Amino acid sequence: VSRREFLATAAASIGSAAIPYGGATAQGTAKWRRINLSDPNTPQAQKDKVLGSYKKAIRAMLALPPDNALNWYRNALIHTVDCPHGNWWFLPWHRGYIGWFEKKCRELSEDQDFALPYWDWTMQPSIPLEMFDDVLDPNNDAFISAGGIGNHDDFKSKFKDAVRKLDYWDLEPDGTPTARYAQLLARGIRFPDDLWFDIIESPAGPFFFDRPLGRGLTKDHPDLAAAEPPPPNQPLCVPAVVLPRILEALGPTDFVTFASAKAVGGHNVQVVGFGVLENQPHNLVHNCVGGAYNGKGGFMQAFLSPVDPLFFLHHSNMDRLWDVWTRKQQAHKNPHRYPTLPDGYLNPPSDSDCDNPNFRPRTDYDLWACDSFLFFVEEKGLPVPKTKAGDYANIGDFNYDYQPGSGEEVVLPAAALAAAPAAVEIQRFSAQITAPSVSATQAAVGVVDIPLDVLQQAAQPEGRKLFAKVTVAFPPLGHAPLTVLVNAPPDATNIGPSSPHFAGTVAMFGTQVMRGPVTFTVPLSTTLKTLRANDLLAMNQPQVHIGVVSAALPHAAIARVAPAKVELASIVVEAH
Amino acid sequence: MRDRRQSLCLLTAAFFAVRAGIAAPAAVAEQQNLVELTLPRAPADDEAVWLQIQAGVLAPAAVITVSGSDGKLLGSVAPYGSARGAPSATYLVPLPKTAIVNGRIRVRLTVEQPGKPSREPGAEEVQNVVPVYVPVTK
Repeated sequence: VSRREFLATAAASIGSAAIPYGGATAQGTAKWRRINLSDPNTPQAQKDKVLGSYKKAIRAMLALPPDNALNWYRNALIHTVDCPHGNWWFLPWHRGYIGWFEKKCRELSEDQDFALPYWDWTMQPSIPLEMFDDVLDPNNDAFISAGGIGNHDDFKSKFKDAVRKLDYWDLEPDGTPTARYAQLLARGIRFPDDLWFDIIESPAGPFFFDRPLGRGLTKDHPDLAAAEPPPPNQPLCVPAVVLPRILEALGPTDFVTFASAKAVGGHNVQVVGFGVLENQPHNLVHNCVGGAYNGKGGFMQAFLSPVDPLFFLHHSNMDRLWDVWTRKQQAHKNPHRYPTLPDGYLNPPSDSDCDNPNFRPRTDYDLWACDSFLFFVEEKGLPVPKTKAGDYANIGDFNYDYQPGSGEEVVLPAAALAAAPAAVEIQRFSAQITAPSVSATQAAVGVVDIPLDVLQQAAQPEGRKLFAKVTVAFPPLGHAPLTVLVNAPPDATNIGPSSPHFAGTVAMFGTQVMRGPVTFTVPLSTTLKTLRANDLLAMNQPQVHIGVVSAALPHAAIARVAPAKVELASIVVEAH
Repeated sequence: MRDRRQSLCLLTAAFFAVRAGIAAPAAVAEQQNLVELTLPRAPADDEAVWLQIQAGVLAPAAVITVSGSDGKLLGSVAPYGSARGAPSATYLVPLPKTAIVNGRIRVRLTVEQPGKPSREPGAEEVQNVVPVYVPVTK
């Protein structure tokens, strides 16, 4: 077994349990409130109190020895070894990470009222000046220092033994990696030296930044607009956080488009795709504060970013925007409810489902919620009891809410909600698969019966929307695009977007090494209307044939991919 | 060690399934860094048209800017952390309605890197650009 095969197997074998706990916290009813540090209307006394407690907690964590799990840098290393980016676990992982950190701060500051504040960069596209004070600045003397100058060698010498002794590297009695070690392996971290290589020597850029370059922006130049040198990159950061961009990021009506791309294989394995929220305000604030564009360096630009206390205020705002989006989705009930999580969340897996190695995810939500987050540490320094992505689907037991900030306007006012008609539940209709395989010359086909009243409602201008959930299994390394057709002629294999039968093209990108079915959502309403307009679908015809064929896209890179045999697993038509 | 990281990049399987409908561009014209796309249909009332840019490895601190035919900045592809070294990832970039004229989108993609002149992206840096229909709340 090659190392590569071993890593893939280890990653695929990571299993386990998850179920959402608690519900979304209604605004104003939570035990703790995360205040907006950027809002001039936030009382100064509130800001002073929360930042005073934050400083006390940071100072306590910095003073702890490296072998204490609550040590400041140990907390940052959790992010280094485990953070997901560019996939749909980005938001729940960071909710859990900063939620447990908040509890640590509460414990170490001895302030039971403490809740993380947030930096509303839309309201204030400049680092709050308070964050340059004392230990809120990673260049403060309390951070790693040897003779007054902190550097990466000092960091490594202080933490080398503690990292080596971590139970991260443990094996099971039979010699196989523990689930946690398997996740590290999936990330390419085989032993401590791999981690130190990433932190200090990686040719892609270091994670550790020697003082006084702990932060790329300074108290004299705290503006995001000043994060870059003069052209070319000066214009980039502020446009990423302005209100119109944030409203666009909050616009999607499904979780995956909002929260970054669906992935399989676990949160450690893949960088797949970035939604607007992650690509724009998240990435660019990290990079601008971290000095990625002005050459000054700074922790925020890489995966040791939680060394900078500003990290937690940035991610508190990211988590707030997830909460805003969730409440927006819940508020919209006309003409139907919008989902707040991946498909299937209304029928979540049980703990035992996720813990069962033979459990096959039934839905996207199963796949998402059962992923294991194994590195979080609670306020006493012990592993946390909630270890599944689904545990962080809601704010739940963290029991905080947010002082309203930028973007809140997307949540409909309560009065509008009261006037809204009753919600229409989503209806689903499964197709009978009559031809299961797609090849270069062969279409796969499913036939679905849709009640006439649903079809007629969908034909109205503001009527219900129909979507086809097409689940296909690609062969390894096969990722040729597919076209979804409706009521197409039996010999149709090369129908393009101009055809009335064309519903959409679905595609996977990159190199697929994990096997498993993937579900694509294809809108059907427009195609059905077009077919009717062309007398290709009668109003009294309830049976719809949905075909899946190999696509011939004009893009050269895709056209080069030889068509491979793809299996059609299911087609479910949803009426929203 | 560099080889180790490069080989591990292959394990970070890029596995994309977009929830929004992907619109196949009816015509793609690429002239240097100018990309022209033709939409197969007009977006519905509750849809926005965004660009889905599949980007490969970018140099440290490099970003890809997306600007309209008038030169106005529309958005950017800005990897963070190890995503800079990802062999392939997609990035969603919202487009204003004004970017669609007669069913066509014309955008310019440019690689910006501090200290270096702006340039058009290489084939590995921008691997694909497609418009996607995104259901949105208005």
